[in-house]
Amino acid sequence: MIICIVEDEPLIANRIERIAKELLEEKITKIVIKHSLDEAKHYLFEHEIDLLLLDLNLNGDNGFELLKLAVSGSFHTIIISAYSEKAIEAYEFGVLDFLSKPFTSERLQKSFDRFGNVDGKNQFPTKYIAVRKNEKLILLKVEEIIYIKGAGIYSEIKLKNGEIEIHDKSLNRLCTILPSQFVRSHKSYIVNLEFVNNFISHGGSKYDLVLSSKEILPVSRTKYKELKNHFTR
Amino acid sequence: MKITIKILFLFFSVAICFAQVEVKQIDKKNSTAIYVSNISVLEKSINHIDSTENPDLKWIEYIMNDISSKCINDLSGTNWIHKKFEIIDSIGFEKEISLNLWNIGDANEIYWDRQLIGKRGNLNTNNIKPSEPIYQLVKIPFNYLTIGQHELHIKFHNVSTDKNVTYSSIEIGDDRYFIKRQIKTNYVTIIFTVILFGVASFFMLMFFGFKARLSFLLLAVFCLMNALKSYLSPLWVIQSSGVALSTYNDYLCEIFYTIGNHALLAFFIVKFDIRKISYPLAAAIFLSPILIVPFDARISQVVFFILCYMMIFYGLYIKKSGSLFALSAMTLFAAWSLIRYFTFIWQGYFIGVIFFSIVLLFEAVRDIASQIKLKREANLRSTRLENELLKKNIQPHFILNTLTALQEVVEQNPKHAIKLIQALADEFRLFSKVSGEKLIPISEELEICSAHLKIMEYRKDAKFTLTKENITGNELLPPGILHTIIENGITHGFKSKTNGKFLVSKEIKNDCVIYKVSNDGINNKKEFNKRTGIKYIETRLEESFSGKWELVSHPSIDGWIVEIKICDKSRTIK
Repeated sequence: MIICIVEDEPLIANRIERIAKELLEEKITKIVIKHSLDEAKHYLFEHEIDLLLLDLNLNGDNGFELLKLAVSGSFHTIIISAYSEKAIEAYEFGVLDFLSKPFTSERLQKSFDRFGNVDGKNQFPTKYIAVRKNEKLILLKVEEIIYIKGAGIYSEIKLKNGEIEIHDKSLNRLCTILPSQFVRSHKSYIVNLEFVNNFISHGGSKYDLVLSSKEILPVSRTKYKELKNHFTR
Repeated sequence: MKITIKILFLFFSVAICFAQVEVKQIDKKNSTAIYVSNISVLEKSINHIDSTENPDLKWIEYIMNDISSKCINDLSGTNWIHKKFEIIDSIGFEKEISLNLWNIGDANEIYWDRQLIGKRGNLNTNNIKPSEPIYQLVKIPFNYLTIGQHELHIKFHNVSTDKNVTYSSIEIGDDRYFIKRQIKTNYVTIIFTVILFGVASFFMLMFFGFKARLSFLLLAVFCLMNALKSYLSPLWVIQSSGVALSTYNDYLCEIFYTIGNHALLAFFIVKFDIRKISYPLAAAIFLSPILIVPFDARISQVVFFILCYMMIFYGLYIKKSGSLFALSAMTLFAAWSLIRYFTFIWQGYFIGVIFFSIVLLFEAVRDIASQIKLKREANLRSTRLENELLKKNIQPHFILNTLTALQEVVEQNPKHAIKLIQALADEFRLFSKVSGEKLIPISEELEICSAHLKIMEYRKDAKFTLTKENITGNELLPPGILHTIIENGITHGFKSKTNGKFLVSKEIKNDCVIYKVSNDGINNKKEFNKRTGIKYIETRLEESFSGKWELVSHPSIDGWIVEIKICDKSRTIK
């Protein structure tokens, strides 16, 4: 796991690094400390990371812009901030977790636990997915996503209006931050249950989903039962 | 609100007019009124005034026009009124018949059937003084009221024809009627007295209770003087053994009247700040009543009105607030005072005073109300600023970051942690000490800044120095200003691990003080005005140095400078 810490106060940066090392031990391959997101941007452009720990002053107008930039990346983002009133808003953009300052190592552990957890859902469901497109950031409304298809290390997001956007995160990572109506129906698909009309059976426990957009997606055998429950509920 | 006031005034005036009408039911044209049915004025009775100046008893009878009050007061010197009456039926024991005279000469003698039955003053001296009109109730002895013809001769003396009150009357009738009527008049007078005392008390209340403004005291004196004058006015005369006793004290009334006028002139002088134009002028205006009255009371009053109006117009010219109120009050006063020369509402003067005082009372109350409101708003603003200052200190960004850093220091270097906690405590303590003040000595502000810098040293792992130049420590500044500037300076000018030098200096140019806070950090292109805390600084500066300050910031050779210029000499030093 490669972690990047963005924190301008040396003492706090040290603290995060030290505690992270204590908690994750050998799981960490590398920790990089940057003092501003601008600095980090250059690094992130050249290197892959898995987790970003970002100290943001969410009280300024700049804060949320930086946050949106961060969550559009392929890595998970944990926000560390003194302004806890902004936590709910931060969650809506799909951050992995929001940490208030000051924090204990127990709390940081909880955040790290989320990292590997595909099913862990946030208290406050994500409402927007930020996507980097042509040097700009656009926000997709989660309720307009019909399904997401895995495409190598990227994901293809299919929207209600038929458009497709590409996101840097893998399906796994997207799963972690999407709300509960999104289910991993297949190793290559995440589907939004709001858009599922019914199932088609091909016999021999091979099933397909029919979406309201008339598209048909495959369903993995293991997922079928789970999906049926979700569906009938 | 304004319409209500107008209606109230209208009602007031109408009510008083009616009261007046009720009290005096005298036929103006015929100045001889009769209130007993058994007495009649002989048709061919001889009503005349003898205009010869012969003081002897002269029974010259000739026919003239009806006596009118105007004739009586047009004659100066000694003159006579002759009237004949016929009693046509016997007058019962129960009736006490009297003559009720009003404003007949400054001194007079009354003869019924050529017998002296009453008098006023002393006609036989050479030194008859002009007097205020009074009622004379002269009893006609019962044995003089036989059936038949009777004569009435009144010898009277007018010192001058220049009387304040030109109306006169002679009435004959039942005692009780006259007494009752007088009591009714007295009621009105008493009401005026009470109202004026009330208004005077109100002004005194405001003087002691709200604000010790000289104008309140002066208006209270004015109302009080007029209340006393009104109290002394009941013109109730009892005729007994030829001597007229009156509760009317000319001399005292004059004194009260003059003092009242002085007070009113002083009020206008204070209100329109006449002393600012010139002291001699103000003194002259103030002293005018007492200087002119000995010469001519009438002229004194005219001059008085003119001076008041001149000051009011001056006030309108310089657009002093409340001038319009003063103008309307004065006009009401003048109008009501003049009325008594044209009608029988001789109490017009007092009515005028009452209207005048009430208008000014209203203005004073309104003024005080708005002052209270302004003060409350200023207090609110102050409290909000105090609140902001405290919040500044405990706002998330600063304290939570500091505590997070502290977490690390506690685990890594407990000894340093103690020092950091101490610095934090110092800053808190200093903040709560100064947050309630509008101005604090700069030495205290610099203490807060030092504590802050110490904390930031730990957080940024850097060294910060604060030096001062040309500062004695007693200079007064609003709290939190230098702190905000230095805090901003660190945030925008220094990355972590960069050392910083801060310099606070003072320069005096012309009548202004310029405080400069400079640092040797990088110039951040972020607009100075948008930085957090700048609004706080501006509000604080405006609160203490309204309009007389300036805040600028610009890059310097080796860093950044923030300059505060204050041009209010009176408040910059302790």
